Amino acid sequence: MIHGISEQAWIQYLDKQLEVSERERIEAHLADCAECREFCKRMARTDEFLHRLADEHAERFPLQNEQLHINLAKVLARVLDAEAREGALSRPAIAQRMKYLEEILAAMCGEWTAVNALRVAATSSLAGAHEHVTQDNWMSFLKKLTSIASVFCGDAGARLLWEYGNV
Amino acid sequence: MRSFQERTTPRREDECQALEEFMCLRSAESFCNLFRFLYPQVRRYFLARGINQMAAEELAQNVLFTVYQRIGALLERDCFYGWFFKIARNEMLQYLRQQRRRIRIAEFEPLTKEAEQIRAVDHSPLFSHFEEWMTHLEETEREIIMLRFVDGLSYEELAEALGLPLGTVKWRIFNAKKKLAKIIPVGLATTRLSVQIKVATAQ
Repeated sequence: MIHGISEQAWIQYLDKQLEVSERERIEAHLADCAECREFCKRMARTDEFLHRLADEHAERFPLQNEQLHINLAKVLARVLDAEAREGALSRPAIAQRMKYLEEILAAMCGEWTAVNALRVAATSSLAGAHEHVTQDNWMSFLKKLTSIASVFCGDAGARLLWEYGNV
Repeated sequence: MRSFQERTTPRREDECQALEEFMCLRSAESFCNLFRFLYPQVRRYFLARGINQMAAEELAQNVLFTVYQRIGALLERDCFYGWFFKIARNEMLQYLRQQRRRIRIAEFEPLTKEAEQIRAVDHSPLFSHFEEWMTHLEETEREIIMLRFVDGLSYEELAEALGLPLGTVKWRIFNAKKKLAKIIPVGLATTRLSVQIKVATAQ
């Protein structure tokens, strides 16, 4: 609190965000108080200085076009590399896992049921479709599949599927 | 006096458009277009905090790589710059932690010639005075003033970048400015500051 004016009010006043009545109260005080007038003047000057600082900062550390392109190429190479690695490792691994679960399920309740259980689990999970099952939505898919499997194979079969799916 | 709600310098229209496009398409092409606006900003962010050029470029690449990979997690365009500088800040903190560990192991390592040269070139009178004035602030105040006035973030972007409530951000800036107001010489006002400081220093 400075001369009966809260810091919150000063912040809003200097930001020009204060409502009219409160602003008029501060301005009336400023007309009488040299100390607060000086405070406001100094704050405005500091603000002006700092804003100019930002303008001049934009000219610091110049960057050549060539440097920009080299760095862009490096980032893109990393992006492509990451995408290739993800594709090479996770997609076949996911497909293999699904095939494995299908075989376990088929041994318990027949091939036709197993194929359909996997399809329904994928459709009703976050993946939305069999071919869209990925590492990110794997748990959602596995939960659905376990719940379907508990109907056909009982709790023990569902638990078995859950544990294999989690490996 | 400008409103504090605004950024210190408005973002260019083509930059906003490039961001809009990248957030919609998330394609490599739209990323390349946005890269030319973001890369210089984040590189400056690291260099202005005393990180050497080679490390600054590498850290800036890391930030842009993260942006490309995680843009899908960002729901609102308005949060982008706060999020962007938050990634940059985290990168820098991680880098500094590694450096400290390395320095502890090596005990003492003098500045490389290259780092010294960059520092010498960069030391414009304005910024060397500014750096001196900044020593009167606490670490948290220095950080917020740099982000606000050097990197040009708005209040909302600052809150996002630092993970602070909006009121705390405003209060910290106000307090830091109160301290700076006592230090910054009265003569500095209207024309280009670095020119004024040069003249003042010569006198």
